[in-house]
Amino acid sequence: MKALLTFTCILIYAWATPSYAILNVEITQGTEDALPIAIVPFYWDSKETAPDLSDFNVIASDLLRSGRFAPVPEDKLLSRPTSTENLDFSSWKVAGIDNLVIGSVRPAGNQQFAVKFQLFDVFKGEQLLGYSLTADASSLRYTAHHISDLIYQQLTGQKGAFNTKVAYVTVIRDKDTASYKLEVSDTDGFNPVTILTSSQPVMSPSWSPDGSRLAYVSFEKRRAQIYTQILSSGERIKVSEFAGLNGAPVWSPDGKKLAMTLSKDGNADIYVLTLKDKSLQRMSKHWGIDTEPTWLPDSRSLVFTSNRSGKPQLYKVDGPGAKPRRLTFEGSYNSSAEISKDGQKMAFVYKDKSAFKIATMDLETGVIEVLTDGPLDESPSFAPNGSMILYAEGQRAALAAVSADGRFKQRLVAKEGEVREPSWSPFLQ
Amino acid sequence: MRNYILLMLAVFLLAGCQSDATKEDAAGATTTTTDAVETGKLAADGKGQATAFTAGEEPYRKDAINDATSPLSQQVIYFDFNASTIKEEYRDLITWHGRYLASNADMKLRLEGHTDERGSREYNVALADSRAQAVSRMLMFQGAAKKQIEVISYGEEKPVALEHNEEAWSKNRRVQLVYEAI
Amino acid sequence: MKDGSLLGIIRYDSKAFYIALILHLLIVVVLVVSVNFSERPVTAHKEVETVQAVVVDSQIIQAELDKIKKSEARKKQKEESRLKKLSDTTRKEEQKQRQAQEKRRLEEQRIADLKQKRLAEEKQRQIESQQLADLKKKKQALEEQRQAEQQRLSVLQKERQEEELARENAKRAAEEEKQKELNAQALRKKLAEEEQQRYLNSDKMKKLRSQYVKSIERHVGKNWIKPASANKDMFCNVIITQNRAGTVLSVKTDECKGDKAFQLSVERAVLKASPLPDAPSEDVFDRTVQFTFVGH
Repeated sequence: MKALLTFTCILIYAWATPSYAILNVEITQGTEDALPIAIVPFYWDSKETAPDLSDFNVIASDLLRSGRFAPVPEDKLLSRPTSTENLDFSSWKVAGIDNLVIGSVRPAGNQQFAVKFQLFDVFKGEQLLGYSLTADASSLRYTAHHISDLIYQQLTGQKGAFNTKVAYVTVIRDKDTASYKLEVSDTDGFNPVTILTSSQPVMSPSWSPDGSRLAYVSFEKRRAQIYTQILSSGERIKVSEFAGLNGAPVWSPDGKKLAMTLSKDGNADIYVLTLKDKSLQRMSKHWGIDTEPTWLPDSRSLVFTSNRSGKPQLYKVDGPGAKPRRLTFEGSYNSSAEISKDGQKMAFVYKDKSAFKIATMDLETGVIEVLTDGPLDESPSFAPNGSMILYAEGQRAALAAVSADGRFKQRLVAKEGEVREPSWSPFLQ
Repeated sequence: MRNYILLMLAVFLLAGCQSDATKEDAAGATTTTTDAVETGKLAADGKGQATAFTAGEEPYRKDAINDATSPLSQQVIYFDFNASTIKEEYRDLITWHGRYLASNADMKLRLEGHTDERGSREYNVALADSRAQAVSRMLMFQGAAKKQIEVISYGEEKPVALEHNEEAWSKNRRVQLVYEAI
Repeated sequence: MKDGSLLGIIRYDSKAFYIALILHLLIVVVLVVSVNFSERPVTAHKEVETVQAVVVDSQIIQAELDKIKKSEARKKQKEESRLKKLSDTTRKEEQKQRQAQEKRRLEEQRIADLKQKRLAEEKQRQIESQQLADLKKKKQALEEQRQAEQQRLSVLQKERQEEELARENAKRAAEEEKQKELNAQALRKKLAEEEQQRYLNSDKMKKLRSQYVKSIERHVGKNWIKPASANKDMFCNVIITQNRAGTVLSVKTDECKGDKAFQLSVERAVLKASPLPDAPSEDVFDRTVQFTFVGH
């Protein structure tokens, strides 16, 4: 009886309520601005002598580099709250700072530290994240990257990739000799580790999908050979030394195959080497140059560069024996493609009138977006979450990063000598 | 003295010749002391100055490649951007090297292909390879044996000029003929 | 059959023919004789019986009278002897009678005793049955009492039910009254609102409202930083309340199809946008605003 009455009332109310009573506003145009965030330097919560906590500065630089965040410079912080007790959101609100991060470090015994951090939504006045992590002195930096990942994921909805690695090649020239090095470092350029040193060129590093190995080309025997190397042990295997070209190795997403360029049958064509049984399958057959293969997520289709039309353009082939289909028609030089892990975007080198730039193509719509200005940009490599692209600026012989939407560019820490061919690792354990 | 005059003439001819070539190569060609200029001389020579080459008693004698007065001492062939076709001016030079190899069956030659820094690296390796292959085919057409020739492509990895301009690029787009020590 | 063939048969078996003929003749004779016999005896019998009856009666009566006289004499004699004989036997008979009498007396005595006993038993039975009857009576009384109680209870219950019903009716009546009032209110409200809407639907008001909505849209849009994960399938409905100055007082996320980052971003957008643009007219202002954010 009562329920019926209520229902009737609701019906009458609904019937009697005119549609204009609530203003309806549809918002489709947000901004592409970076999200303002204040990261208060982590404080030492102990009477003992404070260790070096500068590693936590990477949180701000990580978030800045992603292009998604606008961290408040340290000297522009309104206040430095250390705990929820002395937190006053109103001043941050007035300053238009959306998010606030505070953190502390204290000794946890056994040469360990307890790292505590909290992320607040200033406008809602709510805590969004709160973590307590344990680290030792050597892993503080990784802990800081991990915190960046957690904040990034919470606020962008994407998995953070700040705790991943990048492989690249450096060259130091001295008169007539040169020293080529294959190195692996954090994505911000820190903690470089040399994987290979050679007086002859080293090229085209490619990560195995589990992040445990690198494939690369080495000219150490005065001819091109392809090797795979286990990063933890340094153990390496020569996988290809055919007559002529042995180049552009790329690990398939399923980890079972290496696509590569060989010229053993005349000129540069694409081949796929199955690592288990060493069987070789030819993926392209053309008198022109076919090279720079890159896999699609199905571990079957490939995109490669070919000059069969006269100039380098990108083609897609859906398996052995399939007819390659041309993907790029705009621009006189399109090459060196890499496909994002979700298979939606392709990054590549794009030449307009004069400059070589990094561009992306939406593989569904074919729309090309030019992300950089050149003039000699090359070797684009997607972050495993697809948010950023690392590339080499040939003019400067150094690495740079651009957010996948082109909004934010950053040159990475300059290193001695030339740095080139960055290859972003997959997510690591 | 006579050689010097010829050289001057060659430079003059080359300048005229090069003006027809791509604009990209023009800068390199006008620089007097570079390899490119010497190349120009031989290319220019090659057409109507066969006598210059045959002045010596034994043009294809084994040590001719180390004789600065022999055109065989010219061992670099230059290319246009993103091209692997051998330019007209290098045809005679390659012919002479082919005949030299045919005459000296025990000699071995390594062809090292290079490109400038522009474009993508692996594409440049393949491009440099096709440049070297083009030279190799022409050498064999002149009688060189396949087993005498080894091809290696370095792409843009081993530039001779490090600047980022056309002058440097034109020097880097090349195939080097490297004879193994006798 | 033709004469010829009959003759044929005679000739063929003459013996059989003669036997058959004799048999036929015999049958005819028997039949004639039997008819004569049956008629003759009936008449003769009648005549004889009538004559004889008269003759017999007169003779017998005389003989019979004699006979009775003789028999009565004999009987008298016989009776006298019998009576004599009887006096002799009488004494024996009396003694026998006395003995029998005694026997009968004893028997009667025994019967009397038995009767006495049966009487006692009967009396006992009567007492018992009396007791039983008493018990029955008591039980009945109890039963009656119980029934009376039940009766009383059922009456009570009935009274209660009636009370309940009365209350229910009263309540329903009140509710109906209330409902009627509500309906009337709603109708009044609707009429008022229709009037209001007619006013608000005027071109001037429409224009004002669309300008107001646009200004809110622009202002909130500027404050909405889309997360990286936003895509065209994501949307979020956020309902806010504001005061007349545009200050956002509450934010409630209604339907939201998107990830956590998307929801956070839209909630932040409306809060950050506070105060919302000033309404150009009191009539286009509304305390409640529903925002639909589309990932795009």
